[in-house]
Amino acid sequence: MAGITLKNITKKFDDTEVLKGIDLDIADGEFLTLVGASGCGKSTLLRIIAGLESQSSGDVAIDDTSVNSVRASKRDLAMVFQSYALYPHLSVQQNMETPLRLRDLSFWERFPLLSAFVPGRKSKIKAINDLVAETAAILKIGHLLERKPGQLSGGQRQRVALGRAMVRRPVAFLMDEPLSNLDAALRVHMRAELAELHRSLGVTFIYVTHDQAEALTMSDRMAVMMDGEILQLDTPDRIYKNPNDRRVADFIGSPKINFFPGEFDKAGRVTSYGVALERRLNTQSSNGVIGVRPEHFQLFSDAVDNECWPFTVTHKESLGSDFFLHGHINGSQQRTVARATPEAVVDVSIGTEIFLRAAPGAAMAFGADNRRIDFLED
Amino acid sequence: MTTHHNAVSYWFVAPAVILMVVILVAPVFVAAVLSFTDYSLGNPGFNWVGVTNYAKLIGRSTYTKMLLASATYVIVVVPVSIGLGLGAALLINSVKRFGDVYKTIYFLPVMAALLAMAIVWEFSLHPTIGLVNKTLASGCGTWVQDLLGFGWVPWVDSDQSWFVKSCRDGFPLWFGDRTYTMGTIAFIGIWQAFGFNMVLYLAGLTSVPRELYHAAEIDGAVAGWERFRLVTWPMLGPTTVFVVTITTIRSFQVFDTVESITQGGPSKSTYVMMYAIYEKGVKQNLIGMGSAITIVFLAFVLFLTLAQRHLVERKVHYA
Repeated sequence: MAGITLKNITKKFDDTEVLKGIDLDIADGEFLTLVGASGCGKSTLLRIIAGLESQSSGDVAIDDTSVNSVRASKRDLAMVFQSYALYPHLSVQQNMETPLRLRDLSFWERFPLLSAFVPGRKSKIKAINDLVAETAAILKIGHLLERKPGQLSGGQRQRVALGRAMVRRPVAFLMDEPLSNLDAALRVHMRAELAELHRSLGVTFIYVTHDQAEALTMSDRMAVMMDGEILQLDTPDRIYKNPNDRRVADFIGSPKINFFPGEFDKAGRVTSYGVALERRLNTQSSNGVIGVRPEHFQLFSDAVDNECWPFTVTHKESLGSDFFLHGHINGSQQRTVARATPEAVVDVSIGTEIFLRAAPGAAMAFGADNRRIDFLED
Repeated sequence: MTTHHNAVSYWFVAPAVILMVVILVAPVFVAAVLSFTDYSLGNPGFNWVGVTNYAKLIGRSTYTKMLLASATYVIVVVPVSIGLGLGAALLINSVKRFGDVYKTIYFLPVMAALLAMAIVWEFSLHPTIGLVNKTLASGCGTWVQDLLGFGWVPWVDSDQSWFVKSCRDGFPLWFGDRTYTMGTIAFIGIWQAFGFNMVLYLAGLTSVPRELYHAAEIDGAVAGWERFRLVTWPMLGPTTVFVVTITTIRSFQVFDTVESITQGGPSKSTYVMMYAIYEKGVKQNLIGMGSAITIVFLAFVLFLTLAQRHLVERKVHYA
């Protein structure tokens, strides 16, 4: 078990800078998620931590010891790949044995035929078999040990890949989109299982995903990455409630947050689509955007105050427990989504005109430079 | 769903079936029939001779030598050309630059007509005016002789070494001495075949997922041979089945070099099956005998191919 520290990591491929100075401090036993759209450099960063790729500059330290010159196999990390990367010609048992055999058996103990004559090999093999059986039992794949990866379902392969990573008790787990090849239902199930596994092992997990739901549900902390930078690093809860950057707010949350163009006057008052907000901003700039999450809209059939936007419903989406109303604020063509309870939308049908208001304190403002702008405390 | 046995459907498949029978099956069948006769081209008729031709194949020493020659050639050329092809492919795959240059150069012998290249080799290996023997002979009496005499290795009598003896008694007749001829023909065969195997292996290597190498590295496969054993070799299984089959069949079919250089000699040491078929069936117009060898040849190739499929494919993973 170990903490991992990254200092000013950069990575260049020819002229493109994929990582622009990443600093990251991962605590021992933490579940940290790197989340971002594809191409943001999160997988590259993971591979640099693993040692499969070398950084252009910067330091990687495991347990305060620099591992810049230590090759991947000596860093004692385990990795679960998106494609699982199981050895297709080996059985599940052999797949899970491989990391143990390669580490614990000497050259001669692994040598074909001759290995049978090396003293002490038997007890080592027995220890390996016990470890594999134990891990297989934890992951409930004991009955699959004789099968080849080709005979397994996606979820089973995923477990075997996990098992191969777990079996040798590494100092940290690196996971590169391990759930993205599973179907939706299984993904949701495995999310919970991975989180439980992390809790029971107590080992550091570094988890890469493009799926914000995975990041929000599993991690202790998540780092939202974009264009080779970490935009925000915090707990999922705080990132969702308090994004410090427009791009973070845009990426995290489903359905996406709604952005309205905003004009700021000298006093910091915000006007968007003809509606002026009560609170004032702490800014000198003259324009930016207002972000309101779909669940932060309040629905009214009449304009109750000056903060209501007239809204025309163009599509009504039922999720059973919730409804999503798609439409646009009168005077704009921009698609806006609002969440509502089934009771609130009984009378709303397509074409209905209603009024939306941002729940008090829920609207967020971002400047033209994407930075979050705070409202003044009254 | 019910099956309709409609006469029209047979008409639709008829052209394909007829073509297949006439072009692919019939020649083999005709050869099989002729192998039981004493037919010669131009004769008005023939006599059924039963299994006489096959009995000769088993009984006569010429044909024993023929089988031995073919077997030797296959046993030498197949493993060596595959090993070299795989080695070259792995090396080319690992270099970052000049890979294409190496590929082209190693593939040159495959592109060149073997018959033409056989003539080049015949000249190079000519006992008196050949480049090879002249070069070797120029090393006699110099440090080359000391080096290749292996007198510097403990317990080696340099007078008994190949190079020193050859300096004394003359360098070998590569195509005239039966000790060397098969080896020389096999050498040309390897020289010609390994480039092709290399290209097949290069294609196979591109389909090995990179993530498997990463997984192997993470799992602790530090040495190159460990990664080879764990990832490369198993993943090349399907390629290897194909390469072994193709190389074996092509080695059984060796003809150009034998025909143009040795004509099966000296003393039948390079009398391979293809050349025997040509000599009996074409040169001596003994169609019956030629057909019998052809059938045996076919049976060999078929047997080997099926055996390979059975033995290897069971262990090979197709992703």
